[in-house]
Amino acid sequence: MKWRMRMALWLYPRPWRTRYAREFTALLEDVGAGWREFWDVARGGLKMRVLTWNFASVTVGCALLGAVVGGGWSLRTPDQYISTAVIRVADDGKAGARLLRAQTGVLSRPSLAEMILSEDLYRQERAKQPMEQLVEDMRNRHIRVVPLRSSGEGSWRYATAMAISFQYPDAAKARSVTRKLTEGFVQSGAGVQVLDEPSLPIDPSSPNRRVITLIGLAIGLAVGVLAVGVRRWPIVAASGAAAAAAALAIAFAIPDQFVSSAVLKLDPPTPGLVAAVLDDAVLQRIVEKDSMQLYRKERVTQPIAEVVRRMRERDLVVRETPQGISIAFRYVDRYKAQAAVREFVTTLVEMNVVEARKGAPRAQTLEVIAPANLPQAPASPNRLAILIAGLTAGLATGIVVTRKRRLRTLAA
Amino acid sequence: MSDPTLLVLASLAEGEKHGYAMMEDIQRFAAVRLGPGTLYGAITRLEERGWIRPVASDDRRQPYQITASGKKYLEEQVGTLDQIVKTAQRRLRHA
Repeated sequence: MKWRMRMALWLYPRPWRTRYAREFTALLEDVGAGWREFWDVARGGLKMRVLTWNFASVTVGCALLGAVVGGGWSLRTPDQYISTAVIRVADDGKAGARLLRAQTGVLSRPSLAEMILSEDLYRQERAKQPMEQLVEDMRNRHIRVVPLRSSGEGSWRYATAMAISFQYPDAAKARSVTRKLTEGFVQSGAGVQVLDEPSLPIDPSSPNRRVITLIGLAIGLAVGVLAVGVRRWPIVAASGAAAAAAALAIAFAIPDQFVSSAVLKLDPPTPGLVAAVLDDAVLQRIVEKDSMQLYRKERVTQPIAEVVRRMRERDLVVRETPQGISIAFRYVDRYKAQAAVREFVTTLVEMNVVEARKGAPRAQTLEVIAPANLPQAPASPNRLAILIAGLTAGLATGIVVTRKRRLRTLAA
Repeated sequence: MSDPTLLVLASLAEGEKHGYAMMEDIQRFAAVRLGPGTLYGAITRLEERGWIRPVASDDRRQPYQITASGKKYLEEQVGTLDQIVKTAQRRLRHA
């Protein structure tokens, strides 16, 4: 008998082979050992294994398979290297603002596009995607500019130093790009000094192959438990699966919500100014602005006053801190969320000037510490939490129903 | 109809056979070629349920025979299939 047929025969459980191997082998000699017969025997053997395996064998087998798949996938994922440099500016009270201005120039589209071409980055992606998308991905996902704390205060306002890092599959290019970014800051005229030169990464920062393999093992274990559960406790498995499917449908039916925020310093603090920005008329103007057109569907069915009230109560958060104020706005469209926060900031600045002309209390210093960010990931809904909640509820319901049926059967 | 368990019972209803003979017989009357894994999956299930049993033999090619309960099960299944066939034929004539 050919070796592949012996291998396929080995897939059958030992008790089965003890009982049937002799006559089965005789049949295989009569039928022949072609590929068609091989696949039929292999499939039969696997099916027999699954049907006769006990709980421990199925779960351990699936866990091992999951670990192999996870490990294999992590090996296919290319290594990523991160090069980091540290720069600083003199602490004259305006360091943070200078660094922010320098960052805007260094991370601008023309600057990054030039780096992509001169360093020959993202070669395969350049053939498929527009440069704008590559610049956006580079800026948002692969470049990190982190303000470093100086005297226990965080944020850009008190930052006098920052770390610049760039992530790329090629360690040498990661360092070269980090060097270019650092030079951009130095040449910006912000009085930047280099504290730590761009590092040449030796070991990849990702992927974490051990973690990925463990995740594969955990998923495999869950699948194994599910597979056994389907056979042994079909009501529990069906209930859990149905509830999970319903939860997933609900989770994806809920629209994403993105939050954009900005931080401003008002010196002295001017609560009247903030209250003026949150006035109904101001919010209505922002909602109805041609370039914004917020809450279109709601404005069709509800009066504008109601829409504005909900905006203020549900989606807009203005918090006053000792350093200034933070404005956060939540919306289904991340670009409009950012644009709305920019509108609030602009309105605040304009109102400050108007108040000054009227001789009313105003902020002597109004500085944008952190401009409105473009949120990359939705703040809600937490789809994983919804799925887990649905699955748990479904499994619990299935367990209760199975138990009641068993008790009823025993009583009968 | 391609359910392996019914095909094996139908083949053994004629008399005892070993695996290869069953495959050849099923190919003739049902035009279905069962693979060896599929065939022995069906034989395993049928023997577990007591609908077939092995016949004493010194040959490596183990013959099987249908049991009384196997015949009863086959009759029930054939009756159901017959009802289905007749209903379908009647409806097709009137369609």
